[in-house]
Amino acid sequence: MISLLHDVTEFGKNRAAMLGLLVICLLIIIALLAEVISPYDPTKIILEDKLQAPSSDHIMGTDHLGRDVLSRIIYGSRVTFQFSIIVVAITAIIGITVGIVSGYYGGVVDEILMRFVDILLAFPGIILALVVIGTLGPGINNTILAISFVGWLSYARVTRGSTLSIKEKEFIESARSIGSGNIYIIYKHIYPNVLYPNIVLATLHMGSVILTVAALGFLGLGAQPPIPEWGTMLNEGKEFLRVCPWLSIFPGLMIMITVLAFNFIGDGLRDALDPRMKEVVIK
Amino acid sequence: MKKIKMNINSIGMWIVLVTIVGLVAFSGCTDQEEIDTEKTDTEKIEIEQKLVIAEPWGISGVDPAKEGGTLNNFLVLDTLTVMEPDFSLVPGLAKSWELIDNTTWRIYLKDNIKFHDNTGLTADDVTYSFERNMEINPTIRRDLGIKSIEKIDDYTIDITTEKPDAAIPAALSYAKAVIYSKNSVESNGIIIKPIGTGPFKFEKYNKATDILELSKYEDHWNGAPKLDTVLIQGGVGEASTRELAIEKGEVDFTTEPPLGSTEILKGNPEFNVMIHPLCQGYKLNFGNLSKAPYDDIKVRKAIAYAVDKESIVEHILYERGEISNGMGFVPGIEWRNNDLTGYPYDPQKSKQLLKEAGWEDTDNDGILDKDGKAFKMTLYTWPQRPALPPLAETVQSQFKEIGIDAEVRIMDWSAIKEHLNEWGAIRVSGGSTCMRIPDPSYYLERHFYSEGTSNSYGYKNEEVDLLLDEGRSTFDKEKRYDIYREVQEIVVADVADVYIAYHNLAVVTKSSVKGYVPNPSAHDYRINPDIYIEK
Repeated sequence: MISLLHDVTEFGKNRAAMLGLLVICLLIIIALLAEVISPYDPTKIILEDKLQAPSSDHIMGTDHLGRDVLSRIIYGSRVTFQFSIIVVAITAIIGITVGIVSGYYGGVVDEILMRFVDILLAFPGIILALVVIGTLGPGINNTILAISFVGWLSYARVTRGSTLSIKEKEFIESARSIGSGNIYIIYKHIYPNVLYPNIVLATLHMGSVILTVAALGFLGLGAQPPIPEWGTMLNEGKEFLRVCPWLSIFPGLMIMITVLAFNFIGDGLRDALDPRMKEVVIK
Repeated sequence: MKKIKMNINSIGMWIVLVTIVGLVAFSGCTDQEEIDTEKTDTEKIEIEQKLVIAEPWGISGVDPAKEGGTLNNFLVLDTLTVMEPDFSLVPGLAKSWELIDNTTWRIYLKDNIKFHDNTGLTADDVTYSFERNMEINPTIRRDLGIKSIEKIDDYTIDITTEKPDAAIPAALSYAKAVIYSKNSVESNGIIIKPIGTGPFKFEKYNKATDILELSKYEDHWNGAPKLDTVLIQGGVGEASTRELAIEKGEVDFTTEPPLGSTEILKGNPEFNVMIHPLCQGYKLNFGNLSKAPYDDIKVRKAIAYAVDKESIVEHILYERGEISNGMGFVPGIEWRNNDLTGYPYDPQKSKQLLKEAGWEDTDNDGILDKDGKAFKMTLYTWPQRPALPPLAETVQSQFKEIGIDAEVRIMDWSAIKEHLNEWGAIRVSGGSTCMRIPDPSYYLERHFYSEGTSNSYGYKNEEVDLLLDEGRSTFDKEKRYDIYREVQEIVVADVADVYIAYHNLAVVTKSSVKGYVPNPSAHDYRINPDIYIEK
């Protein structure tokens, strides 16, 4: 408890991280309240209103099909967060499980799992994602699958490393000596201790997932129209970049702000949870 | 320790901000400098009579039997007959042709034609080219409808067809029915340096960079062209890349800039923007006409009435399109049935038709249903033509008005095929050049003959098949007019597809480029020997 309080205070002292947290909280609120705060229907096409510059009616202007850009940005934040949280959750669960199993049991299991991770790590992530989407076709679900396919590797690596060092600690030895089973030790002792580095990793991972989702959307492989996704909006705005730059500037800014905020939080968490500066939690 | 960390974080933020401001502030300056240096290059090009073209499609090789007509479009290889920009047929390498019996056409060649290697053109080269093209690429044989080709004397050949075929003289102008010298063929049977008879000589082709280089042929039978060299950069697929290339002065000629940039380019005196009709268009192709729900003509009609063509042309295609009357032939083509009116936008009628077909919203969720099945379908389209994705999205929203829940999927053209058998799938397509062979049989047979090569949607009407057979073997032009107009009437009444708009091509050249003549028969454009660079 004291340790947690210490972490929170440390984190609170980091101004950039707090700014990041504030931005993300704000964005989450916007995403949750999209129906309430969005001024227009984000998918309603009114061709007569196309390509209007930002004005009091449409604060961020309208796109090439007369849809309100602000409403699309607001709904876009929902799509982006949903996307990224699902991907990070899937990858973290797979990665942590593989990492703990690999690190705890060692031997042949470790060899097989880690060589498999090595093989996947040798591929550039985005290329592998493109292959997956190329085979399964574009769309939200396939994008989640594609990004998750390679996203869990770093969690597995980090978790395995931590597990290796923790399992040599004396408290594990004593747990074993009083007859605790493997599953119990993993759940009660290993898992809580590998969680901290993974939280840092997950926060930083959020940023990169948002970027990958936007990149795939920009390439036309992610969310399919008319779903308002920031990367897809960038792609649609590209055709009109010269005449109506706001079509690309606003989604671009949103991607930048969100990724930056997550990275600030991640940095702050890393500093606050630095294992070298704190004691191992013993439960 | 922590304090230092914090400062690093704030320094990081400042660096990011300063970089962004810097990038925005200085990007303009760099552009200006680049334009200035490019100007001197432009002057050099003007003196050189050199035309540099950025071509949207890839060139993909120079073997005439395998490539898709590029060498004919860029005037390296000639055809026996030639289609003029007004779709009329004039002599090319052939000086005349006649029908000697129902299935044999006799072609008389000009005797003063020389290949780029200075050898004379004879009947041997013609028969050789045809036989080689049709052997390597069997679809050319099918497109041309030729059974065999035979030399009679040095300047006369006979073309035999399976059935009487009125379209042969027109088919001989097909960009894939090109004539080249036997000397073009390497010892291993392939062609890497085609030797033709056109106004431009093939110089070299770099497969890695996809650049084709041509030079003036001084001894061309019809006089030398005005340009000294033509350089074609193939595969510039991205519209904005082509726009930047012409703005920076890297190229002199390109097509299809982004839809949103037409006005900017038109307002710039350095460029000349021509928007002219092509015999191509945008349409909806039903995935499968023999399966539900599109086996019901009422549903097809409802779909045709649900599309607001006028607003699509005005707001999505801008000047790059014109409303269609339901048929693929653009106004001006003599074969076009001008009496057709197509299906004007009428959502009420559309709903009525769907109701008659049994589609009603019984559960009040805004989506029509029938026997417990909701009308949910997918619109497939591809991104290479910039107007297609917004067009699909607009159709999707117009379908919503009549209670059809459509999803849009944008994927590679070739990948769409596998999905067309899904329930209710529709392909939002663009292209289908209607006059690559200036005969109505080319477009109508491809799309509406039960075994037509582009009839992927399974349209089958025995009456149409019979009429198409009859039209092909009828030699009286007036009778052919009647037959083909009737075919058009039937396929529009059958709603075999939903034609939305014709495609107008935007050609952007530097204002120093003179003499380009739009050719609506081409896919998408053809250069001509009279193009020159004004000093």
